Amino acid sequence: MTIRKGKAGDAGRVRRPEAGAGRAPNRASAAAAAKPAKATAAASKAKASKEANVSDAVAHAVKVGYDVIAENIRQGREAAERFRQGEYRLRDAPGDLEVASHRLLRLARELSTTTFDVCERLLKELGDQRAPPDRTTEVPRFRDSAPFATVKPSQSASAAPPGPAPLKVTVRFEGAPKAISHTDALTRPRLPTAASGVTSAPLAPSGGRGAPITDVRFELDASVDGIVAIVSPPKGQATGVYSGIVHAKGDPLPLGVLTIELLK
Amino acid sequence: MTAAALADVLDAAPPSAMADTMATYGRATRVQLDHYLGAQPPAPYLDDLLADYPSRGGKMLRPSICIANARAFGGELETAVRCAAAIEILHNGLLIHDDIQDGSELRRGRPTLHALHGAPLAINAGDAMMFTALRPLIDALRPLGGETAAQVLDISMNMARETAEGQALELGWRDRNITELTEADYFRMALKKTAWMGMIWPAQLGLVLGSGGRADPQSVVRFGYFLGVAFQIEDDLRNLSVDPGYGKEMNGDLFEAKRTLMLIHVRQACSDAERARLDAFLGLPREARSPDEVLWLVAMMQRLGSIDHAREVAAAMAGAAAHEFDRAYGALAPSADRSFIAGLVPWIFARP
Repeated sequence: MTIRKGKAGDAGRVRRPEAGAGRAPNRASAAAAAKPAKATAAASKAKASKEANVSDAVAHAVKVGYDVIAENIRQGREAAERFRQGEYRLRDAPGDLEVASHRLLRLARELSTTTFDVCERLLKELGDQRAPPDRTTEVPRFRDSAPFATVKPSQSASAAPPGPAPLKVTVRFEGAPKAISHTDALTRPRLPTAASGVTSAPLAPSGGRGAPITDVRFELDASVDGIVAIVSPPKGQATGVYSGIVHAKGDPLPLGVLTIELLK
Repeated sequence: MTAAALADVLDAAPPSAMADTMATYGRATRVQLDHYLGAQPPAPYLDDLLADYPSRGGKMLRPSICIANARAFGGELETAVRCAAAIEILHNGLLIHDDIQDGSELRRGRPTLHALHGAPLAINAGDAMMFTALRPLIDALRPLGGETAAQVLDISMNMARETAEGQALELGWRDRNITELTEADYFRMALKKTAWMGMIWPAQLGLVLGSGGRADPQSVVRFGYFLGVAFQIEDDLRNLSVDPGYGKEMNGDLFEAKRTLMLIHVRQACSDAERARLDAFLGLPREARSPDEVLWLVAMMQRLGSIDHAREVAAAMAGAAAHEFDRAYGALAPSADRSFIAGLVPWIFARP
């Protein structure tokens, strides 16, 4: 930083200059932007020399500014690369980061159940849709991180990881005051699938008699775990058990059968 | 070049249009804030506190940056405004904690939340706001699919880390009375503490939402950085002026021994005797720093050109931001939102 000496001014008060007056520089060169537009004819040689020093100082500041952001971006890229390649370990991070991470986890647990559930559901949903390669075998699962949870003796490190958990299904009925669902879970789609990509065949009545229920759709709802099926039986639909095969878009294997019962 | 001339070169929105856009996007964001902050049945000692800071007004700069970026990159207001609400809720949660950490007494012209309710309840409210911000963010991401959601989480976690590092730097320098600082240290702190949360992250969120994950969020980092540094220096300069801003105390940064560019400059420019006196001042607890010593420090900053230097650096950083604007947004079709983003550069100095 180049230092320049100036005249003593009034103590304590600095008047704010007019908005923008003489302050915004030329975009072609940020450093040159801070140089005075032109020296006035009345300016003394000494003053011009001083101005040149100021410009040098500001040009240096801009260079330092670019160095700082370049270094930050470089560090960010290195960190991103570590994450992407699955090389990241908590113990590789500086001690303060590990402590801070544990504090954050503890803080999350101390907050209300609702907000914590939101966080965990978000992580789950993302995990369901895009599982990062190899990390599951290298990094402890979120819930199992010491010191907040203990690993059961039967869960040795060499044990095969469990298969994908079933996809919970909450069935909601529109326009049918009395109905129940006999399905509470489906097989999880093998490919990343949005809720709108899950479809059900028309729910056919048990025994094959009567009209099927065709209005069935699937949605995500942050307030419940898993996926929500919205079933809208037409008015006057006969009571009884109805079922239909559920598919995920692009997957020929069905996820299961959705079975509901309209009651009297 | 004046701010107006720069605005012309950049095809930037004039100040009146900037104010109109912020008012429009601010209103849309407030509707979402009311929805999300009022979604739960009122809880005693909590919900009144959550609603307090957002009800005090504010420029709505961050939400406006997010929405303008989303629209400039082809997105819809309806999706972007939920993200904007998440940004504003998180920002207000951080403000509550900042006020406690800084021992601030006023926020936007009224007593701070911890001054009104005590630090424990204020900390709890800040925690709740930071997690409440996840709800509008999730709602905004739901239609976009897992890949885009993961990208948003990625840049959000990066922002959280950078912001915490910046706050730690500023607090650590003050609490450990670190005096041997350089301009690079200041820029690094301003990048992390101010630019990332205030400019870079909102722009990145808007870009990802608007482009459906197709544009690179890295492309706006440099623009946001230089904009943020210029903004921070200007903010620090205004604190020394007769009009430090709504609800702020004149020379409050000096009473708090905040490490500003002016302070770093003056400490390097002054004599050994002055430096010894300055270091003694910086080593005092806040309540022991006298108004006379603060006035002496301001006078020394004027005499040694520290304030002029900071003003010139702020202008140069704004120039760098304008340069980076072209690189980040130059390929986009002209639009009111693109002009708004360009207008942020001169607006730093023209803002009320």
